[in-house]
Amino acid sequence: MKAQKIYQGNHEWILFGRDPNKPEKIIDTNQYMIVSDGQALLLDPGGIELFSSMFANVLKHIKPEQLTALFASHQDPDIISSLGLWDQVIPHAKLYSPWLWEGFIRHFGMENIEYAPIKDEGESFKLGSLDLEFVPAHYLHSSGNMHLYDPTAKVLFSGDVGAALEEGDFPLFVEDFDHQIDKMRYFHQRWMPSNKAKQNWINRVRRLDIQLMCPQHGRIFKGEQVQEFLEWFEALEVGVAINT
Amino acid sequence: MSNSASLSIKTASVAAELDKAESVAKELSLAAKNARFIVFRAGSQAAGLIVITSYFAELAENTIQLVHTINDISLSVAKDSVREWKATLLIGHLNSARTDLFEDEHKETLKQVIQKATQMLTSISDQLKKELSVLDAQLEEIQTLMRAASVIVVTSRLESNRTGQFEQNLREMADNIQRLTNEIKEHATESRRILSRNAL
Repeated sequence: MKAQKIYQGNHEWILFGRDPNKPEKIIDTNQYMIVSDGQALLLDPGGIELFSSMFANVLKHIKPEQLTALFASHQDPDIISSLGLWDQVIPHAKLYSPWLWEGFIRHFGMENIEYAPIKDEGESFKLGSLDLEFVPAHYLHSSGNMHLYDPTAKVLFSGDVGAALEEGDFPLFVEDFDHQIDKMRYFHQRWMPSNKAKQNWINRVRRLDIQLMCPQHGRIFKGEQVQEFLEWFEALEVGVAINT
Repeated sequence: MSNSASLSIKTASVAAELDKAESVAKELSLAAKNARFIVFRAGSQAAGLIVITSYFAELAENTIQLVHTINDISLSVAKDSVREWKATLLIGHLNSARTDLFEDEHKETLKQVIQKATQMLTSISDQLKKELSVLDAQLEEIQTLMRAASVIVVTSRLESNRTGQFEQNLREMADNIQRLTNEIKEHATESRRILSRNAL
């Protein structure tokens, strides 16, 4: 599994992904960790099959007890099915996730970690001295969905928005936006159910100052590519399965 | 198949056997009530049977209670076997994580986490052994109760000889009770057999 710092200031963002040992037919995922003042938050920790690699890579940066919080943008297995194992190694941590999914996510096994429900309208969150924002992204694609914005680093973790389904050891960053479109189009049209929800999210995100937009699958968007993405997404018709 | 998975299957099978045993115990309770009714009708001719029919009614209630207790223990064993499975799974994943670590400091941290997980697994396994031992003892108690009931059935047959016109009814009733207690005993025996198969 690759581990790369994507932001370094008074705090840091680390991306874990492109695991060559991941079992076949399991979708590739990006996991991100924010470390601030000796505390760490792991974003969309991943599926149970990735746990070994993830845990080993996390240990390269922090001690287990420093991992005080997990964030699950929604309830899917590629996001949080490893919870039952994290629950045993970081029993004092909190899991931040939309309130809607508490009863569902607990099915992954949660005897020790505390569930911290995020309100529908989003909320602010402090990791050490760092201010972060949980940003609503409902119906993109999950009915209770949150993203995370770091105003200091100007990084938006955008969950499945901006995702692309790619195989192999592809680059971490988008190199050519037009080239990336083919890799993203079907995913967004098929997984995202609502044009209204899409527009609501675009309006919200346009108000944020974003230098890096980090999806849970695929590549990271940098600088102007973020605006390019928002324009492309705005024009895209989603929820296409009902028209087929 | 892992020990924990096999134990989960065993406890589910025992729960199924005990479910059948409980239905039979309910039949036994009904049979005991019928017997008590006939004895009441037989009056002084069947005075010796009053205590025996009360015994069967009590036996049926105790068996039902015992089955409930055993089911609670089975549920606890099933839950702990899942905890054991999860702890085993965790240790497997942690051992795999070793291959990704090269620096001594990281290896040492992981070693400590593995030690903690192993202690947790040992504690769950010890708890499971205790629960399994209690489960076996309770099943044995059912077998003992049913063996004692068989002896009382013989006495009730002898007593029924003195009840004149009610003799046939009471003999049939005794046969019925004998059949039911045998069935319960068989379910308890089968449960013990399931648990002892490839014991932990």
